[in-house]
Amino acid sequence: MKIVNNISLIITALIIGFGCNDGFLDREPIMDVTNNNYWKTTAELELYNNGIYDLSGNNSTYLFLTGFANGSNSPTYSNMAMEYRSDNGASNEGTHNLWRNIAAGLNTTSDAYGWNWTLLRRCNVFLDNYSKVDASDDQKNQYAGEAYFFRAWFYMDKIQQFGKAPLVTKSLTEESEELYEKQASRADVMVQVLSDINKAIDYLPNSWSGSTLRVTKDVALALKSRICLFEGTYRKYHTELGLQSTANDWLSECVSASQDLMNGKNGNNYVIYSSGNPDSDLRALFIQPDLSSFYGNGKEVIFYRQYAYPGVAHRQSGYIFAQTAGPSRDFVEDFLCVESDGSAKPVRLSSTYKDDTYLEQFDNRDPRLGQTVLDPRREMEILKTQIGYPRVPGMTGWMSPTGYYYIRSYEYDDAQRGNPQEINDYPLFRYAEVLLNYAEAKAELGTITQADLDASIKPLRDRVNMPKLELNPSMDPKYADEGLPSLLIEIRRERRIELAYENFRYYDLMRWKQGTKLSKRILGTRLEDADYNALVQQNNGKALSITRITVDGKKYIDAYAGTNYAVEKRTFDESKNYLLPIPISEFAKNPNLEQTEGWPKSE
Amino acid sequence: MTLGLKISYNTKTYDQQHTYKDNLYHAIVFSSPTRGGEWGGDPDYPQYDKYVGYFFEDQSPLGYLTEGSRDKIKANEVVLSPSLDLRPLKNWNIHLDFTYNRLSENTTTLATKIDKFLTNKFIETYGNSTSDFYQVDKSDQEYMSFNAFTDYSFSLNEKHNFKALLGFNQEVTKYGITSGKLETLLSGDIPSLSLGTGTKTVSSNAYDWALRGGFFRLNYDFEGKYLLEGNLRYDGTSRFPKDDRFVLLPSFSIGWRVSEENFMKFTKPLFDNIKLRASYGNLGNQLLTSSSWSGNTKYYPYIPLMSNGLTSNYMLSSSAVAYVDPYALTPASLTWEKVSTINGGLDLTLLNNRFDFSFDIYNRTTKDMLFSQDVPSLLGASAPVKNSGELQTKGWEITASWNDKIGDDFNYRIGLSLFDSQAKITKFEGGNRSISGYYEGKEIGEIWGFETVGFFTSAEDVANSPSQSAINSGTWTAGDIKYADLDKSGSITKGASTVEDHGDLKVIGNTTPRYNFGINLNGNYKGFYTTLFFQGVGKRDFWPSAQAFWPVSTQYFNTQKWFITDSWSETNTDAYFPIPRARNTKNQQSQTKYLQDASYIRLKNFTVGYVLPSNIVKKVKLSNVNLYFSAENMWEHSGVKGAYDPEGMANAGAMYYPLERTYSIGIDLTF
Repeated sequence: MKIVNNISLIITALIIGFGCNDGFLDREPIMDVTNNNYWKTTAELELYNNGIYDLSGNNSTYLFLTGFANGSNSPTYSNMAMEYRSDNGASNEGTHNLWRNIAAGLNTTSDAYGWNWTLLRRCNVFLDNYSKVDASDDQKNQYAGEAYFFRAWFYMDKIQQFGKAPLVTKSLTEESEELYEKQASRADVMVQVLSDINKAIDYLPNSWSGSTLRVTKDVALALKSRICLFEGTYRKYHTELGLQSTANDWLSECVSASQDLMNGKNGNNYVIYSSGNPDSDLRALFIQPDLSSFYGNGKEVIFYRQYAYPGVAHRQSGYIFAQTAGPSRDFVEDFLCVESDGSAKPVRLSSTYKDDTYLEQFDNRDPRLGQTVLDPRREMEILKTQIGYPRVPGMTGWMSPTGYYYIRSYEYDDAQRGNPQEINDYPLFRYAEVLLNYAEAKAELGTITQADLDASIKPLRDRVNMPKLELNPSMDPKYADEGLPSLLIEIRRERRIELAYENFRYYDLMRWKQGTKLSKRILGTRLEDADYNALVQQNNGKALSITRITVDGKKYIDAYAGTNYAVEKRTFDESKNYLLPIPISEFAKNPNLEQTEGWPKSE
Repeated sequence: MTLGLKISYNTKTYDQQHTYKDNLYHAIVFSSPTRGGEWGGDPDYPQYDKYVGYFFEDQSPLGYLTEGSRDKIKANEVVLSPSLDLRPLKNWNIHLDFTYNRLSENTTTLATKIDKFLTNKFIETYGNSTSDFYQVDKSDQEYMSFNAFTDYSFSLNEKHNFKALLGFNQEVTKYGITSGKLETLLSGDIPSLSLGTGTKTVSSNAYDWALRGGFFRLNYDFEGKYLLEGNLRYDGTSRFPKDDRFVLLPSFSIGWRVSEENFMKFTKPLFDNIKLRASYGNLGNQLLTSSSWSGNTKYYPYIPLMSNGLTSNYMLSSSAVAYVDPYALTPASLTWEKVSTINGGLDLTLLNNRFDFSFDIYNRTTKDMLFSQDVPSLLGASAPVKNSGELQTKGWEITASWNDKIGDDFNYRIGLSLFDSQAKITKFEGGNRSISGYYEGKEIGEIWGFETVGFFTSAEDVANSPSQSAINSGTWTAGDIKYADLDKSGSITKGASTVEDHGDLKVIGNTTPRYNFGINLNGNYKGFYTTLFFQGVGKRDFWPSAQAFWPVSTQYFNTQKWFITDSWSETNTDAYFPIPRARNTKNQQSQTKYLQDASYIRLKNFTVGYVLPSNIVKKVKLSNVNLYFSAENMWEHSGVKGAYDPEGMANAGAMYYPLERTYSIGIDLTF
C-alpha cells in the first residue's frame, strides 16, 4: 500500500508538473520598464527626453549639437575642426581628413556619413506615446516641445546634407512600408521642419525651474531664425531647385522669429556682451569655464553646452595648440581696417593697411581679428609663451600651414587640464547670430533700413569700438564681380568674422551657391623674403617646409602646395558637391532609395 | 528507500591590480621605448632630484602597478541538494531530487589617486588616476531545480533486454545586483561608500528565467548484439512568448556489434570488436543571444523593454543624469533553435585490444537560428531577431590508438585524433546578401578580399594600371600595393559589397580551423615514463586586421624591428610590407598577400618522470612516489608572420595575453 501511495503521489506530481503551462514560465521583467508600463508621469517624460539630448550630443554620430564636441570626438567633430571644410582655413591634420576632402571636392562615397536615424525614432516614439501621461496638457507639452525642437533640427541637418530625406513622423516597425520607399522632396520635408519648430516655440516653456541647460522658447526661436535664413537663401540662389518663389516666405519667417527675440517677446532682453574691453570681450564668450553668468535676460547667450570634469569634457584648446592648422589669408583679409579718420574700410580700399611685414597686417584692424587670429605681440597674454610667431612647418612648436593661428576659443588654463578634461563651456546660440540673421534676411528681402542696421549690425560693431555699417557702403573690389549689392557683401563679411569657427561658414557658402570658392588655392600669410629669412634664422638655419607663391608681385604661403589638397587637385562640381552622398550600403537594404544627385550608387 | 543530502560550500577570493585606463599589454605597447617608466635622477639635472622615485605618466603601466590600488572579488556558493531514491520493485527505481544553489558575489573596485607621476615637463600630475572612486557591487544568484524520474527494466527470455525511463525537471534562476559608487574618496586606505565628497551613484538590476521539461527514454538490446535507444523530450522556457514556448525533441540511435554475429566469428582472432553505429538526434537551444540585444533583453526578448543609462555625451546638470531609451522592437514570435544531427560511426578494436579505431561522420543542421534582419537604417533601431536561419555543418572524426609492449618492460602507446568540419548557411531569409553579413550559401568563416598583384614599380606603372582611387583618392606611388582588377572594369572597387556585385573582391580564405589533430605518445619503462602531446590545426587562414600588425598604422604603437627591415623602399623593393604610409589604410585592404597561414603544430605537453618501485616506497610508509619534469607549450611551428600566436588569432592578435612556455618539476607523494 505504501508503495502504491508513493507511486500515485509521484505520478500525480509528474502529470501536474508536466502537462500544464502554469504561470511558472510566465516571467515579467523584475527591474526593467517596458513600453507597456511606462508613460505614466511627467517625470518619466523628462527622463526619456534626457536621452534625446544625450544622443544628439554624441558627436561622432550627430553633428548639429556640437560646440566643442564630446570627449574624444574633439579633434574631428568640434566646430573648430569642421571649419576646415570651408575657405576659412587650411589644415595638415589627418584628423581633419573628412573635412579637407569635402572642401577639396575629393570626398567619395566611402567618406559618406550621417545616414543615422536613431534620434528620429527616439523623438517619434516620444510623440506617439507622451499623451498617455496623466497630467495637464501644459505640463506634458513642455516635453513635447523638446521632441519637436530636436526633430526639426534633425531634419534640417539631413536636408543640409542630402537635399532630400525620407519623411517619417511616427515610430516604425520592421514591417513598415515606409522603410522601402524613396525619399520625400526637400519642399515636403521643410514644411514638416517649419511645423515642428513652430510647435516647439509654442510648447516649450520660457524657462525650466532648476535647469538652464534645457531648450526654451527663445532657443527654438533662435533655431527657427537659423533654419529659415538657411532655407530662404538656399532656395533663392539654388534656382535649379525651382523653389525660388517661396524663398521670400522663408526669409520673412526668419525676420519675424529674429524680431521676437530682439523685442524680448518671451521676457528675455538679450544684449551683446560688453564689459568695455573691445580687445577681449568677444573672445570672453568662448573661454568661460561656466557660461551661466552670460546666459539669459540681459546677456548674450541664449543656449550653451556645459562641460565638466568628471562629466563630459573636451580637448578643444589642447588640440588647437597641437594641430598644424590655421586660418587662411582670404579670411584674415576680410577683417576691416580702421582708417585714420575713424572710418572702417576693407583691405583693398584702405589707405592704412600694410602687410609688407608679418606684424604690420595686425595694426589698425577690427579688434575681432586679434581675438580670433594670434597677433604675435599678444603671445604671452594668450599662449603664455615667448617663443615667437609665426611658426610654419619645418620649425618646432605650434606650426600652422598658413602662418596664422586660430585662438578665439583657445584658453591656456583649460589646455593644461589634460585629454579630454577641458571644461570651458560653448555658446551654442548667441544673440549676435540672431542679429546677423535678421540683417541678412532683411537685406535679401530688399526691405532693410538704416534703423534695421542700427538695431542689428551696430551692436556688434559697438562691442569692438568699430564704426557702424551704413546703408550704402563702398563696394569692396575683392567682391565686385559677385553681382551682389555692396550692403549684402558687407553683411556677409560681418557674419564671416563675427561667427568665425562656429560652424557657419561652410553652410553659408553652400546656401549662397558659392561652393566654387572652395576649389581655389588657399593662401596663407604674405611672407616676403625678410620675414622668411628671419624664420629660417629662428629655425637655426634649417630649411622651412613651406612653398611660397607670387600673386600680383607679392609672396604668399601656398598652404596646400605639394599635398593631396593642392589647387591642381581641388574641384567643386556644382552639380553634386553642394550635397553629400548616402553611404552605398544603404541601397542594398532599400533599392528604392535614391542617391544624392550627381553621386554614384556603387563604388 | 534512500534519503540523500548533498551539501557543498565554495568560496573564492580574487585580488588583482586595478586597471586605471588600459589593460596591461595595451599599455606596454603604447609606452615610450626610449624612456623608462621611473625617474632615477640624472646628474645633469640636479633640480629634479626631488622627483627620484616618481613615474612618468605617458601610458607606461609601471607606476600604476607599483602604487595603484587593488580590486577584489569575494564569492560564496552554497549548494543544498536533498534527494530521495525509492525501489518499489526489484527493477523499478524512482528518484527525486531538489537543489538549491545560491551564489553571492561581492566585488569592490578601488581606484586611488597616485600622486607620484610626472609629465614629460616634470610637472607633478595624477596621470590617469585623477578620478579616484570606490565601487561596491553585490550580487546574488538563486537557482532552484527539481528533478523526478523513474525507470524500469526487464528482460524477456534472457535475450531481449528492455529499459524505460520517464522524467520531469524544472528549474528557475533569479539574479539581482546592487551597486554603489562614490567618487573623490576621503582616504584611499580606508575605502568606504560613506567617506567621500564626490558624486554618489547607485544602480541595480535583476532578472529571472525558468525552464520546465519532461523526458522519456526506451532502451532495447538483443543479446548484446543489437542495440536500440529512443528518446523524447518536451521542453519549455520562460524566454519565449506563450505560443512558441515549448518544443518537442525526439532522438533515436541504433548500434550493431557486428563482431558478435555468428557469421563474423572468423574475424575473432584479429578483430576483438566491430561495431556500427547510427543516430539521429535533436537538441533545443534557448540560450539565444543577439548582438542587437542590450541589457536584460535576452531574458525577456518578446517584451518591449526600455533600457536606461546615464548621460555620457551631454550635460544636463552638474553630474550625469539618468535617461530612458525607446523600447526595443520585439519579434511577434520567437522560439527554440533546434539542432538535429545525423551521425554514423564505426568502432574497431583489433589485435587483442592493442589497436583501437573509431570513425564518425556527421551532418548537423541548426534550424530556426536566431538572425538579425538587415533593415534600412531609417528604422532607427535594430530589427527584431527572427528564427530565420539554418546552418549546416558537415564533419568527420577519426581516433586511433596503438598500445603494445616491447619485451617485458617497455610499454608504449601512440594515439592520434583528427577531426574536421565546415559550416555553411543553408537558409537565410531576407537580408541584402552583403558579403560581410549572412547570406544563403555562405561558408562560415569566409574571408573576402582583393587579389594582390604586387607593388607598383614606378609612376608609369601606376598610370598604366587600373585606377585605385575608389580605395583612396590620394596619389599612389611605387611601393604601394597593386590590386588585381578581377571584374575587368578598369578600376579597383568593392562594388556594392554584395554577393551579386562584389567588384574586385573574392573569397580569399576561411578562418575555420580545418583538420584539427592531436598526437599523443606515451612510453613507460621500468618506472620511467614519458608523454608527448602535440596539437595543431592543418589548415586555417587569418586576416590580421589589428593595427599592431602594420607599420606606422598609428602613432601610438611602438615600431617592431621587422617593420624597418622588411618594408618597401627604393633600395629594398622585394620587401614584405609596402611603402610605409602613416595612418593610411590604403595598402592594408583585405588581400591575398597578407592573408596569414594560421595552421600550426604545437608540442603542448612534454613530461618525463619516474615512479619509484613499490618495494622502496613501502619502506617509508608511502603508497606512491612520482618524480617528474613537465613542459607546456615547449615548441611550435607555424607559418604566421610577426609576433602572433596562431592559437590565439581569433582575437586582435597582439593585444591579448600570449601562451606561455611553462617548465615545472614536481614530486607526487601518496600516503
